Amino acid sequence: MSFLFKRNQPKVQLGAIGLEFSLEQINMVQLERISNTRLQVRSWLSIPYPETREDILENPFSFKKLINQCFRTGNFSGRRIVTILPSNQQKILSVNYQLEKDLGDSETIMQLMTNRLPGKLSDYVIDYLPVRSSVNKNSRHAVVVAAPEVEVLKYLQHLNSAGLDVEQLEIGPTAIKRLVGSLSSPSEGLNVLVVNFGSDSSYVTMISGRRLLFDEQINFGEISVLGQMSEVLEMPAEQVKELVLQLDLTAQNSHHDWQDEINNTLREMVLMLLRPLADEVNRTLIYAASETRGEAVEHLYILGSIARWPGIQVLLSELLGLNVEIMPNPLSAFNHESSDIAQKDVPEIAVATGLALRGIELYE
Amino acid sequence: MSEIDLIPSKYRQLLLMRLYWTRFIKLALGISIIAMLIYLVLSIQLRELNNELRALQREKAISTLQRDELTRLTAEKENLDRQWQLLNGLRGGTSAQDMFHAIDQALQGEEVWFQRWEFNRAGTIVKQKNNAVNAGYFIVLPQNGNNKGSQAWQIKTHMTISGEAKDHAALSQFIQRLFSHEKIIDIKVQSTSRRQYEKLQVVQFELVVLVNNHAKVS
Repeated sequence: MSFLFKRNQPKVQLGAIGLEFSLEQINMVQLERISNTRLQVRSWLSIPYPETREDILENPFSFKKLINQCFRTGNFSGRRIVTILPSNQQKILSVNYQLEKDLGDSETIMQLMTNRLPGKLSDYVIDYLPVRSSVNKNSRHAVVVAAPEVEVLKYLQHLNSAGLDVEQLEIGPTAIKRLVGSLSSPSEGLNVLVVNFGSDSSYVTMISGRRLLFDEQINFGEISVLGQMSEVLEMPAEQVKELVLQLDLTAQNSHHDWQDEINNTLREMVLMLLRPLADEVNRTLIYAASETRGEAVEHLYILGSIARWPGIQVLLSELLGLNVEIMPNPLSAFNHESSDIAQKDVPEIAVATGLALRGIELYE
Repeated sequence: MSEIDLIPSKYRQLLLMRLYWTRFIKLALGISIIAMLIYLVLSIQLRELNNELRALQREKAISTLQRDELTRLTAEKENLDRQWQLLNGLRGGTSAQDMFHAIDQALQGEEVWFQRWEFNRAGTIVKQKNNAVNAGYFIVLPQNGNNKGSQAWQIKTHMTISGEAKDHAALSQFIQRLFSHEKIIDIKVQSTSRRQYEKLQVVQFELVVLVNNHAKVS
């Protein structure tokens, strides 16, 4: 009799799992669509690594153990995944090029990459995303990704050994672009700048509507900022981080004068350390304006390590003169069985959510 | 819209090949298991059939033995029946006493007298005749257990009488009287001759009298 009841059950379209090995934790999100209605989060998790990411990625046993732990913890269905390479194993470049006669985009990009990548080109896996063609039809722009083939195959082999079927291996910026697209209404053709703070370096991604305009890695990370602060404050970096996370960098007129003084000191120090970032962002904004024919950037989202510092968005707004916001909860755009998900602050799963969106696109 | 995918095409081909091989191996394994199961089932069925066949062969062997035994016993019975008929034939028929009585009735006066008298009941092998089995004279003897071309024992009772008669007329009358008796089938005069004594001339004769074995004893 069970088959009679099954007929009445709503049709569930399951997406591949979005999986990201970020610097400090593994993030996984799976979406599903029930009877062609709004997307729903089937399961998600963000588990800190028991050891360093490099150790886990080097050791197949630890890798498999961690994956199994994730599947035991989360209510995931299937083993199909969409994932990205760890950020240190790939190089993302924004490339402008002139299309040469008798050569296609691929050949021209390959020629360009020959000069930009160390070693032989055949040692790399290279893919690109055409961004736009300017008025001059031969002038092109593309986001190009290159990763050592050995690293790619090793990563894929680890995933395969752990029983995962990799449907697509893409890049973080496209996942962010997809997430931003799902967070804004389809009618909005917004220009959005996203700054994803990492420990050693950060990524600046420019999105125009549904297009990825630009993605660049900048040498600005939490470790370097904390390092400089610890030198000035003559404190260990860990203590400086605790201090920064406890205090609100924008708070004024607290109960104690000494607390205001600390806040001000830290605020001035952080403002000073954020200037290189602001300069990079300003350069990106100028470039974006040229690419969007003068259209303004409506939102600047920040996420990642430094985005967790209380009040950091206010300081960046002061520096850039832009509306800077912390990336909204990625899961807030979707239904979820547990009602408290909208209140949870889980910006770290933004990339995994963007990958999960791709995961469900693959089967629609 | 195109999407970035860093999975090398050769890796996808490898996975595809692995998938095909895995499916092929699973299929081959499945077929092998099914074939083994079928083989096992057929072996069991074959064994059962062989057991049944052996049982039937045993039963058949038993029935063959029984048939052979029956044939042997039937042949033995027939042989014993024949022997019994022979013995019965030899034992039965007209007794010597009856014959004496018949001859005595044929004798009148002292014109014929006997010098030697033999009463014989003997069997002789003759060619089998149709419907002769129960005729009384014949007992069918099988040759090598087979009735084809069989021979039969003919039981004959006869008397050989040697004697003398006063003359041929007396002998003739004696023969006529004897011949009229129901138990006498035939009378063959083997020889007659005259014999001269000092004062008397007689006819010396030798007769063979065949006796009807089927004639009821009076």
